[in-house]
Amino acid sequence: MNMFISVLVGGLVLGCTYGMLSLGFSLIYQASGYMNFTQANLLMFGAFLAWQFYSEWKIPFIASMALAVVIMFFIGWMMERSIIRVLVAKKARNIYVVLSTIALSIIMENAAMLIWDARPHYFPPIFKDSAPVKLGTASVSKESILCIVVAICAMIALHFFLNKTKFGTSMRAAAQNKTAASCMGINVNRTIGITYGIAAALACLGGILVAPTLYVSYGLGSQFGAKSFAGAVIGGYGNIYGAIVGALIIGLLETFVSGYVSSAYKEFVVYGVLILVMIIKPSGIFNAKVYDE
Amino acid sequence: MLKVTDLTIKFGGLIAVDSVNFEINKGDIFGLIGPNGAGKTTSFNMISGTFKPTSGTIELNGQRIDGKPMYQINKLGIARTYQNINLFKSMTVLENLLVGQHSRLSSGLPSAVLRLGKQRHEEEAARKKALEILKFVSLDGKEEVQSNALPYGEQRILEIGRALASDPSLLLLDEPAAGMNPTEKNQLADLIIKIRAKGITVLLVEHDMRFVMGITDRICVLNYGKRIALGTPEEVQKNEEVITAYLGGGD
Amino acid sequence: MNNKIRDVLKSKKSIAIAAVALLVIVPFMMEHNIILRQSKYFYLLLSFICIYTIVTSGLDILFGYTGQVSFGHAGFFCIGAYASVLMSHPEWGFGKWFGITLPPILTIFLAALIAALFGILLSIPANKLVFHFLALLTIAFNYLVLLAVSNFAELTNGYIGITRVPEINIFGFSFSTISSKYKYYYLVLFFTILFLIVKQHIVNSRIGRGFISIRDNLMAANGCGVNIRYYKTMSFAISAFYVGFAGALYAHMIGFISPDTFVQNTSVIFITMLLFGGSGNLLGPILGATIITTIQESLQPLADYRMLIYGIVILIIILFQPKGIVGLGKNISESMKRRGGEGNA
Repeated sequence: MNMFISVLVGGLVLGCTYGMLSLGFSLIYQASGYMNFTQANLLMFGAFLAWQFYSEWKIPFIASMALAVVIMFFIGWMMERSIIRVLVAKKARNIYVVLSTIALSIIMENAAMLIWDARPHYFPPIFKDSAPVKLGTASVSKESILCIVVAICAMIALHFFLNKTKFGTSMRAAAQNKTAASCMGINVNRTIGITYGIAAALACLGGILVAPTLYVSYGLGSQFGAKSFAGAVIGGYGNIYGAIVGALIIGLLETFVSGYVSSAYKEFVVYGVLILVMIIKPSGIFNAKVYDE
Repeated sequence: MLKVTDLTIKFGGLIAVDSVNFEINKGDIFGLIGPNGAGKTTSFNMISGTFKPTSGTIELNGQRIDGKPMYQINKLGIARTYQNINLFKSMTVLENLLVGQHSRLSSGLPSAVLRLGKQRHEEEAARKKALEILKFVSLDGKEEVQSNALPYGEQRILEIGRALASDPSLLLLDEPAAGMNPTEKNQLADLIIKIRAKGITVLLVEHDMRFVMGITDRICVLNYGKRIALGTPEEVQKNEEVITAYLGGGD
Repeated sequence: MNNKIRDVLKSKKSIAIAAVALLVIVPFMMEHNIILRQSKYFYLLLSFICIYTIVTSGLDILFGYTGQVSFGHAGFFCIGAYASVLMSHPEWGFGKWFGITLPPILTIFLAALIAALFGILLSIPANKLVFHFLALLTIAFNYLVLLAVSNFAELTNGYIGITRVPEINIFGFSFSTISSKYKYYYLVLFFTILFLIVKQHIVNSRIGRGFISIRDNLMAANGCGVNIRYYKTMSFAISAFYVGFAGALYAHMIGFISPDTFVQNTSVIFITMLLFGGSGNLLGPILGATIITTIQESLQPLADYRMLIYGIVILIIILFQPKGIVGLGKNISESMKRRGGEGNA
């Protein structure tokens, strides 16, 4: 039972982190139709920023987190404005837009390595009293609980933002039909830019929350990129609720396999399941358009 | 040569085509008409293999073709054009006609890799045939033009040429006159008659009544997925039900 | 008109022949101290360019001609490399299990065939998928191949990798790899030219037109009698054959393989090379492989700054020319033509 709870919590932490990225993948896909390869390295970069503020400059955790999230929002927004939008305006093929995000991803990863060197950095504990919380007989670290709680809050906030605010509505409208939306007076470019910003902010949040349980290093992103993308696809690409479910499935699958079977097999199982899903139901849990024929 | 029996298709709960029967004789120009949403394009798409009928059969010279994939139907001798132009945009006019001949060519990977004599002869013959077709559809001299650089009317003609390249016994034309000006329409009518003169049966779905009445031998009229008339243009024009469908029934 | 076309073709052919002659003669003169003697490293670089040209050309058949994206071609590269090594190595694979080994000159072909087989397998789920999903599937494939290779340590020595990969020799003539890559370069060059010719033969045939028709318009291709699944599978198989062969050549050149070489980043580099050069033609993959390999190698002295600058260079060039280097050339020649045309009219 103890083991079950700790594995479950571990899976949820991982799933929530993947979820923050999957959400970004889905949001960006919905808004602009592109695949954004920088997502995972935005997570890494955000985690580093928070580490810099919190561990080096001793800014309180909440302020560090807020600061990092705001900066990453700005970076995401800038990325869309200065690169993606330029390429779209030049009528570049879809794949070249993807390639530009790959290049950005390489730049970000190596910039992080140069700024903060290649060593893994220890993220100091967030809570002064580091005693774990007791859940029944099992003990769970406070950081893990924080991660899950904040992730859930972020998801709920996003839900309300998209459904209840005027800006959210215009974002959804722009995602469905750009021409119609711009006829209705919605500034489509601005909504796309802000979507990239939100995706980056979510990634950053994911990075900060997972940092205390892992070390922060420039390679942090590559652990998450492919699997969170897989989560987005399993859930039904472009569906943000599906993205969360898919990410949780991947996270739980991974920790349960490594907890109960062997950590050597966890990747096998994750990618195996992914390929199976793509063979059996490529539209994911929540249907998405995938077929070519 | 083409026999459609009790053709029915449902999308969800909606019956788009309901037990339609008709038969096309060899060498005919056959029109499939009806008001918007009558199910003519859907029927057309079942014959060409895009949709699989829910029930009913389609037979080509006694062989059942319903539910077969498009590429096999093409091989059996049915070629089609599209309502919205579907040319291979990055290819030249000539290359489009070469792809059109795909089913009639046979060289596979080994002969392509080794560029055997057989393959070279086949390519040479295919090229020649493509040029002949271009002449036939009066697009000669444009073989090296990229297909999406052609004017609209010529793109439509090229699509017909591409369909002819597969040596069909039955040619399906989906609204071939759409978007054409009167001169172009006349040229198109001449072309269709020329195609029939080569012994190719033609089925066309069309909106333009005058165009259809002018060139077809027999017509099938659909309304709300059901056949309401079948016969020669004269017979159909006199049919009460057809007149109400076109004048009063539309939405 | 016809004569003119023939002239252009002729001139293209003569340019190609001249280029090949240069690639053969110049290194020969260098090696024999006639001009600019280069270090051994120079031939290694040339060989790398050739190998990556085969890779990008193979990827081009899949992406550039058939329109199917892959972010997992390092998987095929890996399969090719490991298959050839395991069949020819005296201490691992066949040598370890059955005590027999096959000559490397044979195993590089067998390895490519095995890669092609995996290409066919992968195409079964891949044929149905559109862009993003195909991207993900191929990424997953890449990971699975890596995991398989790393975990079957008994066969492959796991993460540590396999050293002392046998050299290629034909009838006793050894393309020695340890002392200098000079001879090996000629072997690789020979295969590269062969593969490029074959690629041109394929894409300019009925098969190649089938591929392009799928890329251009699926619906119309189907209506023209092109069996979409069959052709997509064939494209995957041919592409995997190319990349697998290149992987085998790589393994026997370097003499050492480990899973590290075949990570997903390698796949990304492959597709970067192709897009950078320009896809769907003969020259693009060659230019892409040459320029990216050269940039990467010449940035080597910058150590830690290397990849950063590499990323920036790629980004700037995409922003400047989002069609690849070949697109740039085409734009220039087209605008010249247009000007010429205006002059005539």
